[in-house]
Amino acid sequence: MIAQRTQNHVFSPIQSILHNTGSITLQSVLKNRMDSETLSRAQKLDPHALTIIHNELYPVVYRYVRYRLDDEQTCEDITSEVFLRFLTALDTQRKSIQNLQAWMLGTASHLVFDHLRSHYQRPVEELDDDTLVSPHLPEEAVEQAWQQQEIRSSINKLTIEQQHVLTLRFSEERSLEETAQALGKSIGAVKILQFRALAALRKFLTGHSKRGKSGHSD
Amino acid sequence: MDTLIKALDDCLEKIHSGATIDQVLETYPELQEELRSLLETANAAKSLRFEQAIPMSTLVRSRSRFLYQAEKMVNARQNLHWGSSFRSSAVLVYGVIICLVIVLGTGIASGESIPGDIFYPVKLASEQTRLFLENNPVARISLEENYDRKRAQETDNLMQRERLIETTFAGFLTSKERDQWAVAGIQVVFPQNLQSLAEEMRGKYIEVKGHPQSSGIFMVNDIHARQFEITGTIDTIQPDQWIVSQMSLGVTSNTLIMGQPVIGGDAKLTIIRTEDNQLIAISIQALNSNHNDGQSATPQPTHAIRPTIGALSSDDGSDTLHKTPLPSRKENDPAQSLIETQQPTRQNKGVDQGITNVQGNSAPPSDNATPTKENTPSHNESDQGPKPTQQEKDPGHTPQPGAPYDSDH
Repeated sequence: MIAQRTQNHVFSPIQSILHNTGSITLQSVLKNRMDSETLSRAQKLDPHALTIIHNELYPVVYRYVRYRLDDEQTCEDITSEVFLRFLTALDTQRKSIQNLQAWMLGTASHLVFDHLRSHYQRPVEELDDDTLVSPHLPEEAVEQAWQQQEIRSSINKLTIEQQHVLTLRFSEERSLEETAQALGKSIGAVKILQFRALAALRKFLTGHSKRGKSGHSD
Repeated sequence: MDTLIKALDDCLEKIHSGATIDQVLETYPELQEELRSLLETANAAKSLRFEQAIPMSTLVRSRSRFLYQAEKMVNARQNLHWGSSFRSSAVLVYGVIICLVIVLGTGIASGESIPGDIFYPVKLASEQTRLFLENNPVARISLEENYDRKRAQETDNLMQRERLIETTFAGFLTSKERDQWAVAGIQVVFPQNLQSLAEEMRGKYIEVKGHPQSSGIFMVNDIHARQFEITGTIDTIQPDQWIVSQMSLGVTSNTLIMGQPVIGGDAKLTIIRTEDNQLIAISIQALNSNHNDGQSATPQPTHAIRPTIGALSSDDGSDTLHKTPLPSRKENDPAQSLIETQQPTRQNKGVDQGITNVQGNSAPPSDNATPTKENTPSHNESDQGPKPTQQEKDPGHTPQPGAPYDSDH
């Protein structure tokens, strides 16, 4: 049913959103469809084509950014900025974009990296535990928030490529093939990169855990 | 290391399919400890997944911003397009204006120029261009005579400015008294050797070449009939009058006819103007080879007319008159008279080349080589072709188109 609709190009923007539920098959069909005709119309700044692209890829990019950042407003800003960069690329890049989704996620990765780097360069006043976690949250939720903060903090210490591969692999469970295509690498290279990223993350998480235990014991 | 990487990938795939960490580790007991920590790290990384629905409000805001920016870019592209088009148009307009200024400025500047001026060649070139573009024979002759009047006016200006350089102009040759000649109203003086020739050309439309004098007199070095060359379509052929492109022309027995002109065919004509302002054809060359009934397109003369009076320049520079009797001269035949007064035999042809159009190097003067219309064999009379004339017997004297007669011999 979905494949038939896709072949007939009868998706409205809203329908595209509704059907873009993370199905790999549907995503790949939509990606191919956009790469072939919608993207060519988008290069002419056709509003309808741009609307389709935005509505279909916004959730993908948003989830990617949200995986890396906890702040909702920053995620919205960065996701929106990815699409504005896409418009600029349409106007300035001579080479056409072969894989639009990979291009957008790569751009999102760099924007997140730049955001975090600028955030570190402008250190804010360190917040205490009471400020970070609302006192009204249940204890389990507080613990989960702490863990997620530690994980994000550890991921942000990885190289940008390691951050990118982990986000691609675990934010939406992309396969090795899709990750390799997005990174422009071979599957073997992605496996090695993933292994090193997980090993490094484990190291940072272990360090966090040790510091946390020592802090609590103090 | 490779084993660990492969085991990790395999375990991740199995967990993705629904297996637990303990279940997948049973497959790799030797790597259990290392793999467990890595898989737990992977699970921790997965815990960051954003499972909630994406707020529709954020999507709408982003889309509005996205499409607004796209609209701005579309407008910018259009402005750029119109801007570049406008710039291109502006450059084109400026270019045209500059060219017009140059052309018109040069044209205006050259319009009043006289021989010796910088822009005078421009003036002559523009006149030749206009002549080249004029297809109507009547208009072409009128244009040429208009230019003749300009040459005469220029000669008058040369004398007023005492710029005594060689020039050429044309007009009717008139005389008030003996030895007092004027061409186009300009007083001219002929040297002794051209006196008799001038007498013969009295009243005719001629062209003279020489040097203006500061005294207001033009010293003539050369004189001949002014010839006009036109190309037109033959409308009517009568014994003594043809109509070519609606222009009536006199045709005499001395008119040189080359090829086989037919009504409706094109022909190239050399014309002179007589003292009674009539146009007489001195040569007609058929251009339509389709009417030659299979004969060669190269025009063959059916008449041969040779001038019998000409000024010869001897090696020592002195001019002498050369006279050859005409075999069948008609009384009061203007074409005959004018042709006779040509000077095709000057050895310094480089001087005459610009003003003498029908000079050539063909047959020697011979009665046998000057057939009339009646006694010239037609190409259609025999499949064997025309009887060889004296010219055809001598390959070195094969008549050339546009050079039908000569008196060098």
